[in-house]
Amino acid sequence: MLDALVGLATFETLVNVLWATLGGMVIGALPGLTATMGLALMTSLTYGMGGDQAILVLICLYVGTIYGGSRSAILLNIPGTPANAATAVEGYPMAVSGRASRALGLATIASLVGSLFGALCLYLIAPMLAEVALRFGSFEYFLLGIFGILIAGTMTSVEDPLKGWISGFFGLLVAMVGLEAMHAYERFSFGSLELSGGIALIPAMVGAFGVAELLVSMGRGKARAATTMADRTSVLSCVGDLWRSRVTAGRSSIIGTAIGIIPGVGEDVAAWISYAAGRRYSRRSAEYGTGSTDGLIAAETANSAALPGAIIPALTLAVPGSAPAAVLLAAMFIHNVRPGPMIMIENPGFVANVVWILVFASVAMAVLGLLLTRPLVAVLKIPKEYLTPVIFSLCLIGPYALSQRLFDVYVMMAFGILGFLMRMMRYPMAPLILGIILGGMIDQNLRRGLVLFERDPTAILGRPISLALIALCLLTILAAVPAARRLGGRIFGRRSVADGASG
Amino acid sequence: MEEWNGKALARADLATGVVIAALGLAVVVISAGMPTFVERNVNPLTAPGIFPAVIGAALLLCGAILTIRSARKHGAEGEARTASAGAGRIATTLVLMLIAVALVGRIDFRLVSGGFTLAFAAFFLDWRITGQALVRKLLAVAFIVLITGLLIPALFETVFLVRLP
Repeated sequence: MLDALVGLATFETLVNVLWATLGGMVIGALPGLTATMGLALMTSLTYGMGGDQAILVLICLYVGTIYGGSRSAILLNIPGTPANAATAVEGYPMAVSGRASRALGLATIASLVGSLFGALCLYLIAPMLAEVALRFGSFEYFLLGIFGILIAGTMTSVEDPLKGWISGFFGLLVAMVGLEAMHAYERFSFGSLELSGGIALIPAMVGAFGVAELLVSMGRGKARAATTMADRTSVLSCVGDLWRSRVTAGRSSIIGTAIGIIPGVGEDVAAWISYAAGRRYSRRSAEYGTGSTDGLIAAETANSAALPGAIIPALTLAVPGSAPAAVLLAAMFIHNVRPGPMIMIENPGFVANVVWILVFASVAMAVLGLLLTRPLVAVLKIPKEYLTPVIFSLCLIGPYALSQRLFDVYVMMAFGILGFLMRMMRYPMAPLILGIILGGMIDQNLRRGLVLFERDPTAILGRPISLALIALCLLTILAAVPAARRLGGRIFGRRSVADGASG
Repeated sequence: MEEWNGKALARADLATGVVIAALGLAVVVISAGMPTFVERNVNPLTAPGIFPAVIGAALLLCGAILTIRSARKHGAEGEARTASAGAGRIATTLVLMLIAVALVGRIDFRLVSGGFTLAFAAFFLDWRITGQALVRKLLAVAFIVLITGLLIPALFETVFLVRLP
């Protein structure tokens, strides 16, 4: 661990940590620019860098973006990224009531606590998960991928899991386009040379998150800062607030990291679940919805803790925990890092590097966030009419730069339009991206697994991980079926009544 | 412009349900037609069409459920959305983006990028101003054109050694 710190402690690292975290904060603060979009665009800017520094820049940008989104959530009531939507519920009322500086300071301290807790969990859990993953066979990987698609579909589209699953299955279908790995057979290319090369992840992501976000953002009216930062607050008073809500902060850190680890779910769901848990279990739950510091801490701690959580499965299973982590995973492959269960054997120092990068980024985020509160607020005043052409230019050139194919520019635009329509019809984007990234892995492992179990299909009953994953997949599907939910409610309702009677 | 609601969403769901089900069916049919390579003594369980057929079947099922469910909701209460000013802004942005994408590779990238910025500013900025405010706005647009037309292409061309389209 100390070797990793010594290896990273260079002037180049310091400079990269500072500019990337600050860049992330600016991207996150601007409504309409999400972490996924920022990472997808930044990936194209890291092609020329060394692997370690490129991953450092991307992780710092990721941390900065998730935190930066709290600025516009608190001051404009517009979450800078979807991860900060729950922050706006409490942060904006605080700002309106003249406590803007306190809300911004508290969000900074809560984010620091959440991301440091998540980094610690990454250090502790990643080696264990990699160890468990070594026992995974083909069928387990297939089932893990399917479970990832189902759970991501359910949790990112709670109102209508069917749409989440459709989004995920469509992503899997997109991943099937082009030459398959086992027999080099061209699937769904319809004779097109371009399609036979497959649909690359980065152009698809830049389109689905970049162009689609720009279109949605242009459809909205002009956002104006409804608040001013008339109040002054000290770091110590924010730490005091956090100490008073230490139970909430602890609970939210655990929830955030745990939700982050679930494939494809991400920071926004973590923040909402943590906020809902705070509203239900906090001793100060009555204050929720009126500018509660406890609610703000619940949301911001969880979304920041979810970020390292999302990196855990990406590193150890090559299955991303969130959409931005999917880009990070793609970037790791581009920079010759091979995430997966063998990472602790092939590249043992890499996990420790990532932990330190997260620590550096968290500290940089807190320092820059507290020092540059007012300049960051000024960034919110840049009209989107000026920003959109700059981002679109990057959307055009970024995907092209990867393999210098014009086809990737068309893919980017097609996914932009598709992503926009899906947003309007309330289809979540994360399962789509998860499907594209996991499609190849699921396909190959299914076919390998079928061959392995050809002679004795009952052998799967002797594999507890497979059985557990099958049970999880079935439960995820059943939990989304209203009739099954009602039946479950009745059974558990009766049981709790019976328990109550016997007690 | 907000996400669709009520009847507009039910209508869109009905249409997409049919499209998704049709797509799923087409994928199943195409996958069934993919070779199994048994003539090369390959295990048919490794055939390239297996997983796409599973995805096709899943899409077919989900599309059918979405269609049936939204057909039931179609008659339910709810306001149909009318076109808003946001829709006009989105349409204009989309048309400008499509023109830019169509021009990439046909003319110099710097012209595409800078031209998109100028066109965007012409459509979306309020030009009913005079005097110093107008000069400030023109300078701001010139600065953005400098970024998109020169700085970004130069960054990719010289730092990342990308041959611009």
